Amino acid sequence: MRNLLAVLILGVVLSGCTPRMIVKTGNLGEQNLDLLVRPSQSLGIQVTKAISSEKVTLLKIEFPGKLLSEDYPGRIRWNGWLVDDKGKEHFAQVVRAGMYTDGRLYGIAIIDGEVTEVGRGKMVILSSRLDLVSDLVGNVSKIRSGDFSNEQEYRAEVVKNFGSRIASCQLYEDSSIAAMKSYNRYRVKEFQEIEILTPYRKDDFTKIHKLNPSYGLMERIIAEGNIVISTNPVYTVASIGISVATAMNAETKGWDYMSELPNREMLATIQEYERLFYVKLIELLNNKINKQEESLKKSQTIVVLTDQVRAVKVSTKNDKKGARR
Amino acid sequence: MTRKFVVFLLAMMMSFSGIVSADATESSNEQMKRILAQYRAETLGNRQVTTPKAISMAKVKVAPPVQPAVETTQVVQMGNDEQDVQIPANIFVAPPKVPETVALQSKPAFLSEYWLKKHTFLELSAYAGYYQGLNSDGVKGAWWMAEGIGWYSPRDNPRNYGLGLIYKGDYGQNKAGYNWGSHALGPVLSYYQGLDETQDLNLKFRPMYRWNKGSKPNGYMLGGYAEYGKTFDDYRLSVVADGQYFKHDSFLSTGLYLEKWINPNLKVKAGLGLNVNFQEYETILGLGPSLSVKLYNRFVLGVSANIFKGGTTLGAYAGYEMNTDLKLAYEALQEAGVKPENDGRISAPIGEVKLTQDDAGSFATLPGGNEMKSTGKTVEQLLAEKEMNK
Repeated sequence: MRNLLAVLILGVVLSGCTPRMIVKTGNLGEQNLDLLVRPSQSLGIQVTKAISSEKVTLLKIEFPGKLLSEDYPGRIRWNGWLVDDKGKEHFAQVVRAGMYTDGRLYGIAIIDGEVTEVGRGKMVILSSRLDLVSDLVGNVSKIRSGDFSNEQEYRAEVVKNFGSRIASCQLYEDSSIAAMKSYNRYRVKEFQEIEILTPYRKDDFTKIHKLNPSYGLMERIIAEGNIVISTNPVYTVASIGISVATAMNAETKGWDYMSELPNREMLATIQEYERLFYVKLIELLNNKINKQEESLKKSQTIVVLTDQVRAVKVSTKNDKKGARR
Repeated sequence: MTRKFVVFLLAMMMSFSGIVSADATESSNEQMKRILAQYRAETLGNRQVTTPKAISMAKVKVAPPVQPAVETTQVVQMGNDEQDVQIPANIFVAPPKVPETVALQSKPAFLSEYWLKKHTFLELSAYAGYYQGLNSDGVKGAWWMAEGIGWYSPRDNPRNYGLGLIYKGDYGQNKAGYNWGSHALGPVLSYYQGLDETQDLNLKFRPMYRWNKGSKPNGYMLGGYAEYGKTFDDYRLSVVADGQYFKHDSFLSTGLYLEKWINPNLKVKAGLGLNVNFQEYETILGLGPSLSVKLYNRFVLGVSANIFKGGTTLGAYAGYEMNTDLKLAYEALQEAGVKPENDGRISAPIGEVKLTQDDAGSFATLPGGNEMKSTGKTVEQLLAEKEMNK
C-alpha cells in the first residue's frame, strides 16, 4: 500500500503540484536552477557545472547574522545571486564557515564564474524561499519571490538596489574548493535530480531529507490533511475538500523565514547550538592566551635568570679584579 | 495540556494570594527570598545547587580582525574600528502583512503567471450514488455529480475564494415503469475562512440550469451549502446545511456532527441530520442519525439511517483514511531519493560544534574550513595585478 502511495505522491510531484522556484529566464546558459532551499539541501553545497570544472570564485565574506533566523543545527548553505558588470547573472552559494576572533561570523561565497568575470559584480544573499535578500554587511530587504525567479529584469534591479560589490572581499585560492569537494557526495532525487556535497553522513542527511517542510499543496495535505477513501462518496469528497482547505492555510515547516517552530524546546535547541560556538571560541581564545602568558612568563624568567647570571658574572669578575688589586 | 495549565493557574493564584497576605512590613527583597526559597523547596526538593568551580571567560581584548570593507548601496556608517550598520527597522520582528516591494513591474502583480500559480489551485471532485427503496413500489435510481473549483488563497489571509463549475445528474424508475431524470449545469461560488485557530466556515452557492427528462419543464435551480466547524480540546463539532431549490423538487438537509478521540487508536463520530424533501404533491420529512468509528487512524466504519414517514432505509459504509500511510510513504520516497555517490574524506556528525583555526587566524566552524587557503588579496587587488600583467 505504501509503495502505491509513494507512486501516487511521485505522480503528483511530477505533475507539478509541488513548490519550485526555478530561474526560467536569464543568461545562465544550460543551467536550470531551483532557488528554493529545502532543509536537506541546506546541509551541503549544490554541485554546479562551475564547481565541477572548478571555475568558481571563492570569497571570504562577513556572514549576516540575520540569516540565522533560518538556521538550524547542521545547516551550512544559503543561496546567493550575482550580476557582473556586463549584466550577466551568476549563481552563488554562501556557506556559513566560521568566526572571527571577536565573535563575528564569516562565510564563504562560492560564485559560479572566474574572478575576472565576476570580480566587478554585485551580489545578494537569498533567504530559503526568496522572501528576503541580504547584502554582504547584513542589510536585509524584502523582495517579491515569484518575480525574482521569473523575471531577469527584476533580479537585476534587486541586485542593483540591494546588493554589495564584491571587489573589496578577500579571495581564497582557487584550489581551496578541493576541501569542499572532499565532502560526501549524494545524488538527491526530489523535484529535479541534484548533487549535494555535504560533510554529513548518509543517515543524518536522510533523516533531514525525510522532513516534510510543507512547501507545496501536496506536502501540506500530507502534513495537515485527512483524506478518506470511503464507500460513501460524499464522505470521500468532503474529506478531500476539508484537507485541501486546511492545507491552504497551513504554515510552512521548513527552515525558512516564514516557517513555524513546533515548540520552544526546538527554539532552545537552536539557541543552545549557536551559544556553544561562542563557548568554544572563548575556550580556544583562553587556551591561546594562557599559552601566550606562559611563554611570556618563561621568557621573562629567562631574562631575569640571564640578568642574574650576568650580574653574578660581573660581580665575580669584579671580585676577581678587586682581589688582584 | 489544559490540566497542566489549570494547575499552573491555580499555582499562580496561590502564590499571588501568598504575596498579598504576607506581612506588610516584609520588604520586597525578603518577600522575593521567601518565594524563591518556597519555590526551591517545592520544585527542587531542597537539593543543593552547586556552582561550577570555574566559569570560562574571555580574559583579554582580542585585536579586531581585518575585515573587508564592503561597498554597498545601503547606508553604512563606518566608525573608527567597527561598522555601524543601519538595519531596516524591525524587519525580523514580524512579517509585514503587505509585502514591501520594489516597484519595477509595469503590469499588476496579481496578473503575473507566478502570482496565479502561487495563490491559486484547482479542486476537482466527482462522485456518484445509488439508492433502492425498501417498499413494494420498487423505486431505485442513481445520482452523480462533478465539481471543479479554482481557489484563490492569499497568503497571510484566512479567507479563500473559489469559482468553478458544477454538473449534476440523476436517473430513477419504479416497478410500474415510470422513470425520471435530469441534468443540471452551472457555476459555483465558494468561500472558505478560518475564523480563528479553532473555527472555520465553508460556503458554496450553486446557481444551475436544469434539463428534465420527460414532461417536467426545464428551468433554473439554486443550490447552497454551508459548513461551520469548531475544534475543542479533544473533539470537533460541525454544523452542516445543504439545500437545493427547484420548482416541485427541492430539499433542505441540516446536520450536526460531533467527533471525539476516545484513545489514540479510536475516534468516534456521531451525527444527526434532518432532511426535508419538497415534492410536487407532498413534503417528506426525514431524520438521519449516523455513527462512525475510526480505527488506528486509518480505517473508518460507519452506519447511517434515514427514517421518514412511510419507510426507513439503512446504510453502511467503510473507509480508509490515507494520511498516516501518506506520511510514511512520503518519508519512504524521500529516503529512497538519496543515493550516495562517494564517501568523502571530510565527514562530521550533524550539528557538531567544532572550531579549528585557519591560516588567517580566524576559527572555522565548517568541517574542512581550515583547509581553505587565503590569497591575502582582495578581488580588486587581484584584478589590478591581472591588468598590470596584460
